[in-house]
Amino acid sequence: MSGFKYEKGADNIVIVTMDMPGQPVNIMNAAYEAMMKATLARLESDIDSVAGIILTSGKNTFFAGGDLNALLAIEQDDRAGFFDQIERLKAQMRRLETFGKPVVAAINGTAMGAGLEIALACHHRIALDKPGIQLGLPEVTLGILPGCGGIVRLVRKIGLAQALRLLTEGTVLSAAAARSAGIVDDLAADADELFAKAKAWIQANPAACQPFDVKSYRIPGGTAAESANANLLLMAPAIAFKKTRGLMPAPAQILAVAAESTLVDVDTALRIESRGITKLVATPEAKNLIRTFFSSQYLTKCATDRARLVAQPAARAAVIGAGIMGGGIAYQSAFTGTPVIMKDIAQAGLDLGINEADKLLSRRVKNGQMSADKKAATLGAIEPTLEYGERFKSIDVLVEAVIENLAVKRAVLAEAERNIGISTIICSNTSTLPISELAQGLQRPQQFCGMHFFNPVHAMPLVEIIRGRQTSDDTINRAVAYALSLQKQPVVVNDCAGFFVNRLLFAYFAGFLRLVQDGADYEDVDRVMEQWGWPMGPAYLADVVGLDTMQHCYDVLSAAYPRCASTESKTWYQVIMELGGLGQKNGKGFYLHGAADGQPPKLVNPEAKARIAETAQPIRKFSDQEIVERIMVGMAIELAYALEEGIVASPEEADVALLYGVGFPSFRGGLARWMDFVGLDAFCRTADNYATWLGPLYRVTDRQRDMAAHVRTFYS
Amino acid sequence: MVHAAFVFDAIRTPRGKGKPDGSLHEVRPISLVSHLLGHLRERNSLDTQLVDDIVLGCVTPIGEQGGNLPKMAALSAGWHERVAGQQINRFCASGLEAVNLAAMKVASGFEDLVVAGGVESMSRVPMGSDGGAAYDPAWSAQVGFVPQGIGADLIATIGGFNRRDVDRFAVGSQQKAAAARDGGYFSKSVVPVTDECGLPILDQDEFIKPHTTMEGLAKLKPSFEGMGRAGMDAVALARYPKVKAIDHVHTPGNSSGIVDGAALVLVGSEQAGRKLGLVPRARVVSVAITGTEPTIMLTGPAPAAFKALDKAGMTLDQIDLFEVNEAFASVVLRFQADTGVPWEKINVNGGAIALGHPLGATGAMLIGTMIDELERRQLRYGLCTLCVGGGMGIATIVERT
Repeated sequence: MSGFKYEKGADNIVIVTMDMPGQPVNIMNAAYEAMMKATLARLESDIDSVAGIILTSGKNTFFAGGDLNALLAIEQDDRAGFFDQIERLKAQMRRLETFGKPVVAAINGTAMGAGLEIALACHHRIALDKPGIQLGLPEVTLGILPGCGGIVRLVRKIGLAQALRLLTEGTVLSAAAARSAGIVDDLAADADELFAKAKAWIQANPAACQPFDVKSYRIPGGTAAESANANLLLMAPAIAFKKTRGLMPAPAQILAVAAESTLVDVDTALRIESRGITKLVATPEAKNLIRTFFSSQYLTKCATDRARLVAQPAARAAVIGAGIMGGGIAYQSAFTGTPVIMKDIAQAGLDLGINEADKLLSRRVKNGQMSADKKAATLGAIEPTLEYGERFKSIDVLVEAVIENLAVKRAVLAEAERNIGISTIICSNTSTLPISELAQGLQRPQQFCGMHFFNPVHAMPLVEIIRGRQTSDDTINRAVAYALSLQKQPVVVNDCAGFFVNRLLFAYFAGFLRLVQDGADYEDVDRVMEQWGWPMGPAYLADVVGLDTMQHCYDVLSAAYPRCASTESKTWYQVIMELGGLGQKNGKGFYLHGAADGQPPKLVNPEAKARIAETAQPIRKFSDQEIVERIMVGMAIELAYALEEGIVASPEEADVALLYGVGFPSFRGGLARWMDFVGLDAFCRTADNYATWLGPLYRVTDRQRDMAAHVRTFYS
Repeated sequence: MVHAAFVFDAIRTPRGKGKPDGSLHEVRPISLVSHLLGHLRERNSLDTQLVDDIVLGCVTPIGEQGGNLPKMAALSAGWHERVAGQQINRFCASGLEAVNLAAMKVASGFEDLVVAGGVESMSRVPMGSDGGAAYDPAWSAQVGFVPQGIGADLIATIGGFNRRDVDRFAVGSQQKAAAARDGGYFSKSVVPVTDECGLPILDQDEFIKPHTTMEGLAKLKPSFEGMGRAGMDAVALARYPKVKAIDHVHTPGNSSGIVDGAALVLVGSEQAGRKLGLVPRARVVSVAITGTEPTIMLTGPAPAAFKALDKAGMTLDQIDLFEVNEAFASVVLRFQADTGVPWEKINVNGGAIALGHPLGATGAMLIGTMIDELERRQLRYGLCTLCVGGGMGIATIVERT
């Protein structure tokens, strides 16, 4: 194997250009190792005449990171070999930084994970300051840790406290932000400046070595043994635990490696780090997070493929209805660069929408994420109006976001259609109303689709794009393109009651309602489901959504999906509403919700509990396993139905939609993945057991039974 | 004694070179201990809730070794929450003191099953980094303090042990230790250290230098000559006016090695053993701690040994094997001179000059080495002893059962 491109100039500076053949990006794998080995050998033989080394990339990006497919293949028994490989890769980097010649990373594109770790193993880092160039160590989000010296060198460069903040979050930064964080040392406006600066630095620092290879070196902010870090080290594990509920091993491992790395010499620290990643790499959490990453990449590809077919991206948009959702969509559109007209029938509605946007923008300014000028410009890109007008003729996409009522929506849609241009597409933001029914009465139903945003719009990454019976492919593609421009993850689904996400959530709640009916304590159910990984349990989620909304969805969806309908005359939502509770919005639901800022205290509502006890079976203890199964099995069967009915096209899309839409625990890899993990045979046996005494909610599909018989999985 | 105190098991880590390039430098001291606790539980099928206490010696109990490491290690090893833990510091005697204290707890009848032992990662928590009176000029002036190395050289001078004598002893230690390691004599006690994935880190003692020669040792510079000339000799000689000058014979080659390691000894009553199905390997016959002249500091082993023999009503010649910690070569030479014990009974598998001296753990390691060797040779009585900072000596007599 030959090495990377090697060019020695008249100034004796060697430019090493990483340009791995046969692939679009540089990644860290066996081929990289061989190429780096050859490059180092050449440098070694040449070293006396070399003035310095510039490491750069021949791709659009600097270096994409580790080889995730290879990581995915590492099983428990492969860990010894994996450890050895990591150690070899790190020995190469160590060699590079101890040649005694200055080495500069000319970061001419995105450097992620192992790519940034290579840059950190250079003596000086200069990054091209261009939009879209990202630097970061996002390994924690994949359930692993930066194992190629990233933890060790970042801690030694910016100190334990700063490094931990980035490492435990997996924060990805722009070049300028990376400069501010002290990760890169300089910025360059273009390639010429990049190389000029790199050469100038080499000439000015002919005997460069790493600061930590100098005897008098001290880690910024001190070691883990120093009292300056005592509080950090005392608190950090607890803070990480609170966030992960102890379900993710990576953040805790990162903390441990980072702290310990400060107590030993750099070579020992690097080995400790290798052991850390070796411990994580074969865990199911890492596997599932990596698979989830692949699934979400697949969804992004599906979406960008569609967007590429769109002749012209949306230049202007309009939102009808300036409520919470409409205001949020208008904000997101303006924030992501598509000017938007926001129409409502009442000034109060417009004020509410503008105030909401103002609040979100002010928060960004306060956090230093946005300048006051940019805020003013963004607000200026939202044009509030009470009237239709000529300007509506030139918009590309109109999002209707009025109240969830079929008749009202139909009337608004028809009116909107009369006021827009012939090529404008209309998207209805609805969570439950069938798109094909909403389309009735429209002149151009082919230019109409559903666009289901989640609340709060700015924070929730998912948008369901719903294809009605008459919706054209072009309309879908344009809606997808618009969603992408809003920086959302679109997933295209076919029309049905509740679409995909709420349909599955309905099945999830069906299991919950029945459990409580049978005598489960809903606090217990919430605890168990949270421990399973859900961000909140079903009772608490119902409170957050609002019990009236929950009941509305229940009414709509129980007709469509009788297998998930309650056998009781009243739902628990209704029972609590009779007590005047609407959930979080009025402070009373399954729980009592404090009005204070931040996380509300989770106090059970004794009234609700007592009233439920009057009609439910006597409270009895359910095993954690039964609680999980009774909720998750019904939901999983609904996923199988949705796939079979073609509501959602693939298990990847289903799983990512649930991850982004309702916070399905990422480390489980998805709900279809969960069924694969359990095994369809075991899954069907469990479901059958419940079906015998709990009925159709647990009746598996014919295809599931067929999969079980043939030992097939959703992902195979 | 109300009850007999038995040793059911004794295990240790290999000793790793106590420098950043030593194999155990990458292992947290708490991991060394919890790793051993895991093995002790497994190989004895130990129901840990029946263990009363874990008493571990540690000479530099700060930083990673601070904060009552034994209890914390028990928690990370998943031992039952009922098991308590404490850390003790009697300088180099800490590991043996832990065994003695455990024996006393059991012998008194107040406790039934105690884990004794010690830990010292000298590479991660350097010797002396916990401060103390040695760095307090007020105290130093009051007592005429000199470091141990000066005392060791003074012992050599007074005893007439010249450089060749101490070097010859060191070569012997290396050869015996290498032979013992290669003969598998330590394998009963040594538990290889692995990482959390079970990947190997160190499986046997790595400090031994089997090819040590007199010529090689002769090239090493005396370790304490500089500080001696600067003033330490003057302080020591004020106590020993008959000595003209101190002959600085000790070098890194004939002094104990700086290493990392840990050891555990399971001590309990006969009844506890029966309850758990444990077979006693040895009985703790008697223990002794004593103080001696503090400037020369390291002459404690012989007085401590005699004190232990007195307690047991035994005589020197009843003891089949001796383990005398090789803090410095002169310490063992002095012990032999003071007692007249035949050389073939002393440190038959080498000692700390070859193997290293992980301060807080060494005493417990000596017990394991002793019992292994008594079993291998089918002998009956063994005596372990160490010199101790501050002018102390410690001894323990065990009987193979």
